[in-house]
Amino acid sequence: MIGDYFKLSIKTFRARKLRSWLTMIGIFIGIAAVVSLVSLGQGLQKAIGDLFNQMGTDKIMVTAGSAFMGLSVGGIELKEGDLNVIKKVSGVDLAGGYIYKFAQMKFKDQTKYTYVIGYPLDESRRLIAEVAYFKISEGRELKQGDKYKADVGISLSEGKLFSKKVSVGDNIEIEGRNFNVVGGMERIGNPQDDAQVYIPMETAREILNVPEKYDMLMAKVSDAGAVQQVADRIKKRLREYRNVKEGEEDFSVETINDLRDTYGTVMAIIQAVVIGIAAISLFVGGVGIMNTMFTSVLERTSQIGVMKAVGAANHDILMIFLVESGVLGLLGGAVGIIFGMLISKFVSYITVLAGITYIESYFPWYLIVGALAFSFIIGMISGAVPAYRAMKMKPVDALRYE
Amino acid sequence: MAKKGAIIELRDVWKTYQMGATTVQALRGISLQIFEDEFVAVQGPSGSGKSTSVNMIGCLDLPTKGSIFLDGKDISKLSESELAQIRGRRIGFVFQQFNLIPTLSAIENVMLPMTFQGVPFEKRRERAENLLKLVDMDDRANHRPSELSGGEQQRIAIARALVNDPEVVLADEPTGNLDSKTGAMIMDFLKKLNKEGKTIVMVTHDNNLARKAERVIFLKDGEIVKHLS
Ligand SMILES: Nc1ncnc2c1ncn2[C@@H]1O[C@H](COP(=O)(O)OP(=O)(O)O)[C@@H](O)[C@H]1O
Ligand SMILES: [Mg+2]
Repeated sequence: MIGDYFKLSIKTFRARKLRSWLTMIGIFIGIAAVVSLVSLGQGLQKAIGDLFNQMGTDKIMVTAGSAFMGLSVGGIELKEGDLNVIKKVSGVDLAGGYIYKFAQMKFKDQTKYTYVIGYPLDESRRLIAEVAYFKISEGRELKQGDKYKADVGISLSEGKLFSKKVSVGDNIEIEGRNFNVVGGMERIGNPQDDAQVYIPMETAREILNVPEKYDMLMAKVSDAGAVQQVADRIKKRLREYRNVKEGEEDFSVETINDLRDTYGTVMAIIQAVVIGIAAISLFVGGVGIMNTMFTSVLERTSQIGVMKAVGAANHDILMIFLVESGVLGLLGGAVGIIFGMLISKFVSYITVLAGITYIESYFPWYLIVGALAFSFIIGMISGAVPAYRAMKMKPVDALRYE
Repeated sequence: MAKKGAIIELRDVWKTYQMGATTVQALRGISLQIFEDEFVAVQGPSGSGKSTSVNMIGCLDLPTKGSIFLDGKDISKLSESELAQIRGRRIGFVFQQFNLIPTLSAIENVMLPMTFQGVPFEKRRERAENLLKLVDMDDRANHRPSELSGGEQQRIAIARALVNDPEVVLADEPTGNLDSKTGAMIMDFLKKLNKEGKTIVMVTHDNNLARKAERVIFLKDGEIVKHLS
């Protein structure tokens, strides 16, 4: 029976005017927004989840000033003393830090400016590499005893920073000193990070004139489950050492979980905005469908009379019009799904182009089916009042209607 | 008491329509009986209440005052859905304007009343095909009403009226929109149906057609003024 209502409603569509299709634009935009949001949301979550998992949940980052994603603000500095305090906190397995500075670089008579990373050669090296996503792809890592050796970011290996490719064995000049390139790094994803050059920490302190400062300190805890407690202890010890009151810290201690939460909040805001847009569009679309259905009921008044005369009961008339408005919503939704998929594909494409991490778009079957069902239901709800009006028509009145 | 053999009886039926401030007395105390296998014609000037009384006979409308009996049972108190059931199973309607659904093909129009009776698709199609053959329209099964002439549309409408095998066929000026030749053909067809056992009530302006009925009821101003048999 429900199949018959569907068939009946499909038949009316070929007679429809452009105007009634235009009313579905709201549904179309709303569903497109929902679909692209959900399909990208999963990919984004996965990309970020992967990133955080790679960093590991047992890591703690300490930066000067109030920090967001490792960006220190103000003239406050972290020094060797701070690192020693962190190392002594119970629960800390390993701690270390690195420095970075914008520096002049020369390769085959070409001069550029880029970030130089001063990289520890002791055991804390692993820790830094994991969190900052430093991975060697060719040649070798810097090791104990290296002094004027360098690893280069992929922009240099690919010949993007300098016009010529920098390969293992080449020499480059940093701040007037000659360095021998021993390795190339894997792609990190963001153009600035990929143009970095890595040299041993001690050498960096010397040639960049950074005697004590650390730009970033990191700690790894022995028990990942206790990371928050250890972070709190680090905060307390550093407060004592730096002689600041609680709430007035000139440094910040963050766990990967904190970062995850920050991302989560940003994501939630974006989601709320998109859902808001979707809700407004769907509402507008719903009103459009309601309007179309009122017109449709009025135009087909005499048909309603005929159907009642040949035995259509009230619930038949109600269902015919409900299904019809549902199908209107469904069609708007179907177009919206296709458009939403295109949007997602486009967004994941440009995230790759822009060199940000690859955000994959997912289209699980339940997203498609759910969106179709949702648009159908919105259509039905919008058509409820017109359908009820059709149902309540008296057959004789409907038949007399011209 | 309904007489033996009366399928439908209107007993002192009054119908008042409210049109804004004015009330229209469409029927003023109509009493009539429709017997099994009869061919009854209803005549009268425009606005005399012919359609209204036929609609009452077809359970399409209920009286303001008075009663309607179907097989001796009062239907005046039935719900709209119960009336729809009766209309669907026992009554077939044919209208002056043909009233086919323009978005459906001929065969789909014929199948429609069976849809509301929950008849399965295959059976619906088979029966509709047979009826299209009966009205000699099987070669036009997939045409839309707009592609058919008036006479052809009316034949489709008759097939539709017959599809649930009703006892009574009500035709409200079925030839009113047709030329006299096509009208005569439709009339012959109704006559044939009557011979095969259908009870027929037909509203008409045409005296020649009315003469072919067994009984003629004349209405004027909502009252029966003459009754010929
Ligand atoms: N549904 C209705 N609403 C209001 N007035 C109606 C309705 N049906 C019929 N009437 C009025 O009742 C009277 C009888 O109408 P009708 O039965 O259609 O006459 P006929 O079919 O003999 O031309 C007319 O005056 C008509 O305007
Ligand atoms: Mg009439």
